[in-house]
Order: sequence, then structure tokens, then C-alpha cells
Amino acid sequence: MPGNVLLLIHPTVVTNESLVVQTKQSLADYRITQHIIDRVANNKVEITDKFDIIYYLNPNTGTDERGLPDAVISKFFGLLNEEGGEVVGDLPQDQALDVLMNGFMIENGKWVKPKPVKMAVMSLKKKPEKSEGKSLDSKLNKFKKLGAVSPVPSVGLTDTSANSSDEEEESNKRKLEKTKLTYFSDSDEDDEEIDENELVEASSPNYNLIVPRKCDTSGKKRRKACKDCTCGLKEQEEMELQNQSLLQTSLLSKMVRSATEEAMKIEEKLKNKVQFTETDMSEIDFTIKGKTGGCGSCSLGDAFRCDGCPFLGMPPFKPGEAITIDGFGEDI
Amino acid sequence: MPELANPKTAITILYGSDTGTAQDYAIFLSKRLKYLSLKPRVAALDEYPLKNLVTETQFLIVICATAGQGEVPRNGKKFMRFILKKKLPPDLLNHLYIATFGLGDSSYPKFNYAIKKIHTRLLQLGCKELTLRCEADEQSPEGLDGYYTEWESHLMTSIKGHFPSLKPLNDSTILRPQNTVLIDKAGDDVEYAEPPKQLSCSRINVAEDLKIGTIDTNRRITGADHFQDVRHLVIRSQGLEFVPGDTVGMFPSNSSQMVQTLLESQKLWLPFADKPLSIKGTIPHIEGGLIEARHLTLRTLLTHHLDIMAIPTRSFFFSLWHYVDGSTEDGAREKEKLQDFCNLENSEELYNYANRPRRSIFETLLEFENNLTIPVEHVFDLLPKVKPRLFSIASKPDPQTVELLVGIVEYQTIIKRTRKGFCSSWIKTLQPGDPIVFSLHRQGLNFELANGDKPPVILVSTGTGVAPVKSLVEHITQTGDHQLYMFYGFRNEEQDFLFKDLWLELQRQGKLSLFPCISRSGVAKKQYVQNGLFEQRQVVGDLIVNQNAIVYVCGSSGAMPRQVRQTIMDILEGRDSAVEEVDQYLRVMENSGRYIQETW
Repeated sequence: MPGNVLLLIHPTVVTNESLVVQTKQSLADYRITQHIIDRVANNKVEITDKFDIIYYLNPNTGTDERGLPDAVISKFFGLLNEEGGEVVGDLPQDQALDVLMNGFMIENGKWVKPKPVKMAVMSLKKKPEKSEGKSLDSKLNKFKKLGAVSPVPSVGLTDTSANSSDEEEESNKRKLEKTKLTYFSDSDEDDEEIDENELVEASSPNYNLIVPRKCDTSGKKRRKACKDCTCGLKEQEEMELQNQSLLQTSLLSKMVRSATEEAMKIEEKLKNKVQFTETDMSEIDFTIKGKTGGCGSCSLGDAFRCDGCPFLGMPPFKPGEAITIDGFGEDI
Repeated sequence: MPELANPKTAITILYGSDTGTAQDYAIFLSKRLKYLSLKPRVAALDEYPLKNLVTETQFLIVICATAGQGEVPRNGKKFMRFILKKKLPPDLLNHLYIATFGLGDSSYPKFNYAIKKIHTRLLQLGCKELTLRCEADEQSPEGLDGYYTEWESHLMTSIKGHFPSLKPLNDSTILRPQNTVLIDKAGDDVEYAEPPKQLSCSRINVAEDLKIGTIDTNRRITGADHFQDVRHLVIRSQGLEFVPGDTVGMFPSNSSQMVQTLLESQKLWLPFADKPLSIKGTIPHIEGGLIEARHLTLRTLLTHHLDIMAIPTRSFFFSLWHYVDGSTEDGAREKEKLQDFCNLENSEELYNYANRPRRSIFETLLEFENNLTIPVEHVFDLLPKVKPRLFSIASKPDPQTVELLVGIVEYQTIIKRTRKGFCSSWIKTLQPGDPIVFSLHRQGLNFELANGDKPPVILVSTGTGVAPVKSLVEHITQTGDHQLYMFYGFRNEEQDFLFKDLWLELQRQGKLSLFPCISRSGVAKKQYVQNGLFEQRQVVGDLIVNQNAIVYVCGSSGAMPRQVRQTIMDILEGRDSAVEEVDQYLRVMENSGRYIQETW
């Protein structure tokens, strides 16, 4: 037997007739009642029927624009059959909480109204009232206790007893979730807090922390200097930096000199640019004592340069191609 | 009961991070999990709606650094306050499996306290452990990465146990972006009717809690020979509400020249740089929001929202290498190199390339431009977002004027081009009359004691740390409520004795006791604030012990605040009627708000 569908359309869809037609075709097997969602939300129409499916049609591509007020979600719940039913279509994805609070379950993106469970409904302990004094009794706040005050004995809310059916299981789970959520309301900012330092004391000194495997490349790793280093590492780094800077300056001036000679003819055209050739490179590059320049990586950029390469800190270049001294400049 | 398969979306990674290191581990981990075909979500501790811990989370991973005094970083305070509530029942979170990773430095006494607290409390609330806790130590020879590697391997084993039928993705798969950038390629170029500074302000129409103002003054107030350019920035606005100690958040933009260079470097980007652009999916929280949607183009996004001056991180390289065409010899080499940078075994290499020389993402992208093609759809996911930069207010409460002190950051590393702070470079471009958008942040400082008394205040500051001191002094000298004792450290009188005339005048009027501490005068002996305090130990000790004085310390973090604290302890210990348990005494002062430290 085909069921009843309530098709609720976002006002922006009305102009997009083909989308509406398409949707209705896909629901051809059902009896369709169609409304603009705003009219339903604002009680402009009265709907007395109950439905098997509520289909929400919203064309907005982003997920943000789909939001539904809590009252509308609650209304959906009421419009669905007592024997269950589901809300489908372009549903908001970030309102899980509202949806759950209104009694739905969320399954594969659909909101499912649970079928009634044939068992006594457990009376949930209400959230303790404002008077803080009483509610601070932590024992009262244990969920495990809640089972004991419920009319169904032996079924604690956190208890997963073997013989409960999946449905009961599901229903219990939802109730527990609902109770848990009451603790997350933002309203009570003035709640008493535990002293966080007690937590440090409470963390066991014998706790078996995860530690790294022994570093077997020891000696190679270099630590960075602390902000207010006193051990000399900072000075060492500064010294290296200075040396590098001197090296670069001499290198650059050398490059410029040699390149200027080489590129005298085209200097006018290149203005600030310098040309240097394969020969220059081999001449310039490897004058530093103790450095072997044969690795061929110097021109590739810092990522490929060796530790201590005289070119460190300069952009990549290609022998024979113009590089701009501007590139080293101040203004980018 | 049949075991239900765990939904792949049930993993939530939360981070508490001040400097961004913890955040990057969190993002890195989320990418690793995505390659296992899982769908974790990642957010700062305070960004994540905690209710969702109940509605959608089964596996909670917390990666958290420890801030100076052993507390959680700024973006984890709300989370911490929530879990500390006494009334929470011990099985509130018994549906959660947790794994925790702390980042700390064992040279500080409260090493990894934040993660200890979080982990212990989560267990009290019923959570089960997915794997054991790890407390990484920056000081160890293995470094943070050594700890992370080991912890992650435990974690992965455990997760694979909970998700037995995972089909991992191939390493070379390019992950689909969370927030796809869509460009209307056929659309008309967006006409920028307003200059960039004006465009930046358009976020006022989108985000809440922003203020708009005009630059009145942007003036260097250090001497010409001084090593640092310190700016006195005056902003005119309306309806400002703040008190001494509060801060202003500013939203720097990249220079148009730099953005143009980057656009030219990425051939796929340039033709569409000025086409209308939209970002799909739920955009993670961005402080100050985005500029108005109608102004969004690739160019404006890069200018105002994407932090290309940031140092490239491991999680950045983890995505970046996928965009290199490895079909040529050069390309293959470059691809391999970028992949190397995310190798945990090789962390020194990344550190030496990126962190040590303070290289920028901008420079890396240019260096690898030959074979690097970043799909424009991925830009928003790949690049970090610009965060507001906070500055202490340097003027008394006033609905129409707020003043700041900004030290311009410039320095040299091994990289030939001078390193310039992103915000500094931008501030230097601000001209009188320019519009500016900013946010005000409460710090909640209080200089009144619980019994309503207004005790003397001992102000200790160095350098630009004098900003909040100026705010407080200007405010208090109007009302005359508190006695003020000011210890101010600077290098020499001509160069960096900031607001000298103001202090001297107040001293002349008897409203302020001023103790300048000059460290490089050339004539006198070097004097730091701690020396100044010690010289005045009779006065200082009496103020603290007998008059309940408040001590307010502002300036650069590191040695200064530590040594000041030590000096105060020495002073209290050395008195004729010595204070017993000085350490305890100081801790009580801290907890009751009588010892306030504002350092960065």
C-alpha cells in the first residue's frame, strides 16, 4: 500500500519547477501533500493528516542554509505516523542535537521516528533543579543510579543486558544520550569546579606513558636554542649565521663582478639583472676551502643544498639564466 | 548483541595550541587517518560543540600543549572549564574511547600539566583508553616527533582494531578538499570598487564583535639609531568598551605585490584571479570571519585570509607533494624532496629547511614552482588561514580612541632576504586616514581586592610591555585610587625610553613613583628591572607584605618574568620579618590575582 508523503518545499525552490517535478516523479508511488515549508512553520496551513514520510526539498548547495528551527523539527515529529516514519531529503547536517532532542533517531542521514516500544517507559531523573546545594551530591548524578529508580528493575541505563531487544537497546541508548546532553547546556556557568591541580596529583606517577624508541642517530640531531639560551648554542647559531652572511656577500659580489664582465654587452637590456654562465658557476662556486661543489645541487634551491653550502639562503637559479638581484631585495 | 560497525565519522581530533605545533600534529593525524579511509573531524578544543561528543563522537583524540603556568592553551579554556565541573557524573563520557598526546618542555616545572589534567579528568568521566597517554618533551634528543611517531603507531594499531575492514587509500591519492573553492570561470571579473584596506573592513558586515575605525597616527617612537622600530598606533573609533589589560586583535593583509607574484607563479590561478569565488562546505570557525562574499576572488582570498607568510609545516608538505608532476627528472626529484619533509624519521630536515631559517610558504611555493600545480579547488584547504594578532592596549579606557604599541619585527636568518613579521609589514603600510577593522578582547584583569580595597600596584615592564602599564597608569591617575610604583626597563634614555615625558610629568605631580632601569646607558652600571626591584627591596617588600600590593609584570616571555619572580621571592625572604614558605606565598598571590603576568 502506497504511503502518505508530505512534501515540504523551501521558498527558493518554487521557481525551479523542474526540480519539484523531478522530486514528485521519484515519489510517484506515494500520495503527495505539498506545502511551502514557511507556511507550515508559521502555522499558516493546518495539516490534520499523519504521514509516513516527510520530504524536505531545499535547493541550496551549501549545507549551512538548510537549518530548521527546533519548533519545526518538533512539528515534523508530530506529523509523522504514530507507528513510525521518517524525514528525508535536504536535511541540515549540523542539527543532530535538536533532532535527537525531539525524539528522532538519525539513521543514514534520515530522521527516523522510532516505533513505540512495548515496555514501561522509564522515568528519567530530571536534571537537578537550580538549587545547587542538592545537585552537588555526585552520587545522585550517576546514571547508573537511574536504572534503580526506574520502574523496570535491573535495567540500568548504562547496562547492556543480554536479553534486551535491539529496539529496547536503541531506545535506552537514546534516553541515555538525552540525559547526558542535559549536562552540556551552557546556562549554568557558575557551577562549582574541581581544582585542576588536584588532577595532576591524581594522575598516577606510575602511569605507563608511551615513550619514543631510543634515538639511534644521536649526535646528528641538533637542538634549537631556547628563547633565552644561556648554554652557548644561540651564540653558535649567530656565529654560523654571520659567517654565512659574509660568505653570501662575497659570493654575490664575486658573481656580480664576473657576470658583469661576461654580460657587459647586454647589461643595458637586463638592467638590474645579472647573467652568469656555466663557467662562472664553476669558477665562483667552489672557492670555499673544504667544500666540494661537485654535487650539482647548489642551483636547485635550499631544499636540495648541502649543509654548509655557500648558496644556502639564496633562491634557486640556473646557470646561464638571468637571476634578479631584486629577488634578494627587501621589498617583497 | 551484534557489534555494530563503528561509523567512519565517529573520530574527533581536538587540539589545544598556542603556537600552532599541536594544531599541526592534529591536522597531520587527521590526514593520515583519511588515508585509512576514515573521516575524522579536527577542531580546536573550544571550537567543537561539546554536545557533539555525545551525539557523534566515539573516539576522541586530544593533542594539547601546555601554556606557561601549566594550564591549557587559550583555545582550550572553555573545554577545560566544562570538564572541571563538579556535577558531571562519572559515566558522562563512558561511550568514548580516548587517546591523548601532550606537548611540553621538561625545562619548565609544570611539564605537560595540561594533558595530564585532561587525560585524568576524561578517565574520571568514564572514558576508556584507546592507547596510553604520551607526554612529548621538546628537550629530549628524540624531539617531539620521536614521541609522536611512537604514539601514532600505537594509536593506529588500536584504531585498526576497532575498524577491522578498512581499505586504506593509495598514498598518491589526492584527498578531496573539505572546503572546495569554486570559481565562476565564465563570470565577469569582479571590479574592486574599494582599495584592499577597505575590502578587509567589509568583514564587519559578516562577523560579529568587530569594530571599525580610522588610523589617526602611526609614528615611530624609538630613536633613529635604535635597533627596533616601535610604532605608536592611534585608532579613532566609536563605542569602544575596554579596561586596562584588554587587547586589540588586528587582521593583517598580504601585500598586493606578493599576491601578484604568487598568482603569476601558479599558472592555473592567474587567469581566474579576479573571478567570483565561493567556498563550499561548512567553513571551520575563522576568527573575524571572511570578507563579504561579493568581494571574494582568489586575489582577495590570498590577500586577506590565507597566511602565505606562515612557516610551512609538516601537514602542509603532506598535501603539497601530491601536486607536483613527477614525470620529469626534475619533477620526480622535487616531489621526493617535498615528501621527505613530511617523513617523521627525518624531522631535522624539515626543521632546517623551514623553521630554523623562518622560511615562508610563499618562498617554498616559488622555489618549487616549475613542477608544482595546485588545483585552485584545493587552495583553501592547503593554506593556513590568517589569525588575528593580539596587542595590549596602551591607552586609558575611552569610547573613541584606542592606542597600541607595536614593535616591528625584522631580522636576518640564513636566508638572504630579511625576515619581516607578517603583521609588522602590514602595520608599516598603515597611513593616517586608513580604515581599519579590529576586535576587542577582554582579559579580565582586576586591580581591586576582594574586600573592595584599592591596594598599591607595582608595575614591572620592559620594552613594548609598557603598553598595558600606560593604559593602567593613565586610568588610575585620573581617579587617584591606587598608589603606583613603576619599574621600567629599557636600553637608553634617548632611544627607547618610551613615553618618557608622560612618566616624568606624572612623577613631578606626585602621582607616580618612577624607577627607570637602564641597561645600556654606557655610563652607569647595567641595570635591569630585577636589579631595580632589589635596590628598592625595603619599599617593595613593605608594599607587598603590609599593604597587599598587586604586582603586574609585562613584557617579553623568557628570562625577564622568571628573574623578576625570583627577585620578588628573594625580597620577601630577606626581610627582617621574613615571610615563611615564600613559594607558597607567591602562589597564593598568583591565585588571588595579586601577581599578574602578561608576557608574550
